[in-house]
Amino acid sequence: MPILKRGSLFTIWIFALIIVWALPDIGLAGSPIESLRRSVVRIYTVSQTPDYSVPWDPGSSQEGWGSGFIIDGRRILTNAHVVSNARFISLEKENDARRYEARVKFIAHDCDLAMLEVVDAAFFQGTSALKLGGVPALDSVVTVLGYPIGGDRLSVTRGIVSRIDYRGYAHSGVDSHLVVQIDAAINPGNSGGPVIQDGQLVGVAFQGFSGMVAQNVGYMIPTPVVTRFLQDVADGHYDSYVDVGFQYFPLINATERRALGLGPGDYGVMVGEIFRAGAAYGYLQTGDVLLAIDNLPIFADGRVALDNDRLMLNEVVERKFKGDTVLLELMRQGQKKTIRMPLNTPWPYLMHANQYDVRPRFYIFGGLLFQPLSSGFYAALQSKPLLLRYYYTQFLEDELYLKHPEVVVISKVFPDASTSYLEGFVYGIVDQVNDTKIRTLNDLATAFERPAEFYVIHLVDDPQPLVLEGKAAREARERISRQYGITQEAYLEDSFVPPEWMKAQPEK
Amino acid sequence: MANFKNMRLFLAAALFGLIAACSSFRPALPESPLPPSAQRSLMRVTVTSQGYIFHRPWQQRRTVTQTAIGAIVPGGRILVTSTLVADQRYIELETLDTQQRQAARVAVVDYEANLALLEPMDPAFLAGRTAFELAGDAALGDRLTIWQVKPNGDVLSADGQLTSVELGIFSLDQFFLTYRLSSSLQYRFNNVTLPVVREGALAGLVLRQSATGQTIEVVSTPVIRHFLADARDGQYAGFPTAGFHYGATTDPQLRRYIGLPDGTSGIYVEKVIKGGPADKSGLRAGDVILQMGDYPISNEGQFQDPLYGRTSVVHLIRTLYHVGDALKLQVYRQGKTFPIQVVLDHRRPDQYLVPPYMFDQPPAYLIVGGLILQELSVPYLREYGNDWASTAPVDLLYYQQNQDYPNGGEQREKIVIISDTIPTSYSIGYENLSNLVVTRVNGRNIGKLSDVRRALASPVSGFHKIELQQHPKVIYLDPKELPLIHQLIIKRYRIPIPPLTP
Repeated sequence: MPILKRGSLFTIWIFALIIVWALPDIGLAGSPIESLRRSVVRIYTVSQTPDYSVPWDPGSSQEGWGSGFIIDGRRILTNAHVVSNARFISLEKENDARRYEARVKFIAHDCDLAMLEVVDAAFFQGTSALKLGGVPALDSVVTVLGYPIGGDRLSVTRGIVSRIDYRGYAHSGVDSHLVVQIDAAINPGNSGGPVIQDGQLVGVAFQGFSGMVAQNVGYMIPTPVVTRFLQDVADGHYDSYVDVGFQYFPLINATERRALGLGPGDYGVMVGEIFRAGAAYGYLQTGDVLLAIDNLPIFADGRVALDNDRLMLNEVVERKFKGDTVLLELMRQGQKKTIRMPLNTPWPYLMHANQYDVRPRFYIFGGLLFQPLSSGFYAALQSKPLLLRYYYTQFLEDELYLKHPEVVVISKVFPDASTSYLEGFVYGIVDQVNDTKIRTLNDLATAFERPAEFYVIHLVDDPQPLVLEGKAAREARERISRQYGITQEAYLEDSFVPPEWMKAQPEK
Repeated sequence: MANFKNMRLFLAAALFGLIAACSSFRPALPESPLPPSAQRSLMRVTVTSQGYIFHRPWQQRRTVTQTAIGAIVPGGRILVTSTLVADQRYIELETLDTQQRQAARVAVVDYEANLALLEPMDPAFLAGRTAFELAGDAALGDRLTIWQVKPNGDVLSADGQLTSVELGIFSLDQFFLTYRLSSSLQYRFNNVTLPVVREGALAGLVLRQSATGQTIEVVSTPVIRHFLADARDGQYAGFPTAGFHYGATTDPQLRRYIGLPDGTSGIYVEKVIKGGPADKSGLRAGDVILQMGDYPISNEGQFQDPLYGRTSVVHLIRTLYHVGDALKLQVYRQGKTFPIQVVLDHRRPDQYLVPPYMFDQPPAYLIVGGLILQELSVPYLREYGNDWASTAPVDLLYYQQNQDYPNGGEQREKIVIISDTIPTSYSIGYENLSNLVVTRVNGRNIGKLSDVRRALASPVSGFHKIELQQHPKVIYLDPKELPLIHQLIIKRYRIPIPPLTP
């Protein structure tokens, strides 16, 4: 399943940090590194992580630090995970005792990059901007700059380029892009720091393997990904990556090739699963044979010749933007066809993506806490009953989002005289309230705001109805809020479901 | 005598290390005297069984040999638990006094109630033996005796008090009335089961010992009585079900919503299984059952058993009635109360979308060009280990947990899956296919394994087209190549290929 990646085999760890202290920085030595170090910054953050089991609370705060660097236009780049959920960001640079407040201008969680701006323009005095280079060659030497653990001053390490590949980005947990593997010692705190070759930026240090699993394996975000980010935000808004919205099956098997009307050879992949919320729906059919993408022939393993390399065909789509199209050459039932297909972001995969800079959505009514299924909510669950596991895991594959773009779960029953018999309904998924089908948390809120003598909640796969008496529920409201310190009864913003899916089921 | 007995205890303790530690916790109950006939009414049963590996359905596990102490019952049969004889290959009986042995066969087995009746190959083997009479139902507080048997055939008794009688798991998630005795078994000697006796009559069979060793769970007398009565005519029907799910009516908000008057007690019918006994009798979801037979039903689904007090209606339906009996219900529906008669029936494991158990038969499978096809079953899912309920593929588990709601609403008898692929040069590119649900073959819907055989008889445009619910959705095989691939598999892997012709 190449298009929509779901994490990786090994636990990839991210260099995010918790301890902070600083020593005054002194003098520079005369070396080739002298000009480079004027481009590197240290980033201090205070962030707040929401607790999905107490969704109305602001969450606990942590301090951390990472690295960053300056590019033209007085812009500072770093990793998204360095500044995610940040409430306060400050910068330090070499040979300057001051701390400067910074703000996130753009943040791209799907490719772990962020751009910062500094409030005080004086910050840029004596700094120099890094120029972007290309993808470094295999076996060539690169230099990593940053502020890893083990000291306070700028650290420099060197390594060689070990591998250029397409891999999962741990920050979102679901996205895969081009990465460059290097054998330089990269450690926590290096995150967001520049990787340099011939005086130019060739990558952003961002993740590695834990020493338990592998040694000397560090990853950097190469410049094609950085450039794409800069181009995407050029219009003042980050639109995120686009995708083709289907899975392909490599055509290695000789019988499968013959059955699909292909001769023996190296070209072509078969279209397998097509996602209703993806771009290919309505354009492609299961069983189509893809022969070329944007005029690049597709090899039978799903790769294309690009940049003097054989890269996954996704790489063609990777470099595109919202509103772009892709030209597909295919064979359908023996007939050759050319299709121009607009790309989109297949949102249901966000179910499994780590969410940042959002608050947990919830709704409280009748002593019941309702929350939509999301990766943050799922991770906070103390037990994971099969129904929730099924809805979470199969959300995309079984197209559960068609009926339930948001899977609304009864996550808690606040013990009260009005909820004495409701404990057994915890972790039920709401299907219907009275006559209203519940597609989203907003639907649920609307249903409960409509006055009724009884609110009859029908759950998925559970035939016993949950009955709330309108009067009893309203009377209990204030009492329960006071008793359990509930400062807010609902938060209905920040859904990952696109607005058009929140409303009704779109038909193509 | 007392001294001598204590010394024997001491010796046994020294021999059986860990178990010895428990002996000091023995309840201080005086032991019941054993009747002289004790040895002659028991039989040591040694069973060698061999199950199948459902992930490699042509292959059997290594053999396992277990022993148990069976109770001779009228009709020349020996009562044991079904756990003992599941997937049995050879059963041997041994007399305790004379150590004579003879092979035996299973006469009747019920894997839900965890009971089985064995017969010696030659009925004369039981000549001169004493059959147990079945005890009357025990009451709470009664003292029951567990008969333990030493390797040399001596029978020892351990008394225990009946402390609770309620539903418990017999095997395979099946709930029946269970006796719980406060006692411990120092001399179980790895016997799978032991008889439990009350006043010289058979009252139960040991199911298991609690982890702390202080409580013994026992197949209760009513369940054994039901089983023996059913088995008597040679047409064993099994324990009945009514075919509905129920919930409590304790919540006053629910009661007011359904308009159930105060003082009226009963259970809320959540769901009636389509085609089941309750469905045929006209019971509907939303009905409230006020009475079953002569018993009023509480809001939580209990009736007042004359002997055991408040007891679940599950016991009432499954054990107080037989298959074919009419269960009279008083039903409350929209302000009216009226009677409904449900003719109870047994639901066989093959009547489930995902069969809950399969014993004594090799799993059916097909190998088609290296693809292993079989029907999804709970034994297949159990191959994922002790925590299979969380480690087996979640989409397959979902079928098992939601037997009554097949996805998509189409009527499938079974879920046919490609469980795995055997790599050959012909299956290059297919080697990672596993746990995929087959929906159609050559354009025909697949609702059971035999449908695959039938569909393979008519390839489409020279190929077998196999459609899957999951990615990659469709794969092809060449009918002309199949004999070649199958020969290769037989030769290289030594895996037998079942015939593909219907």
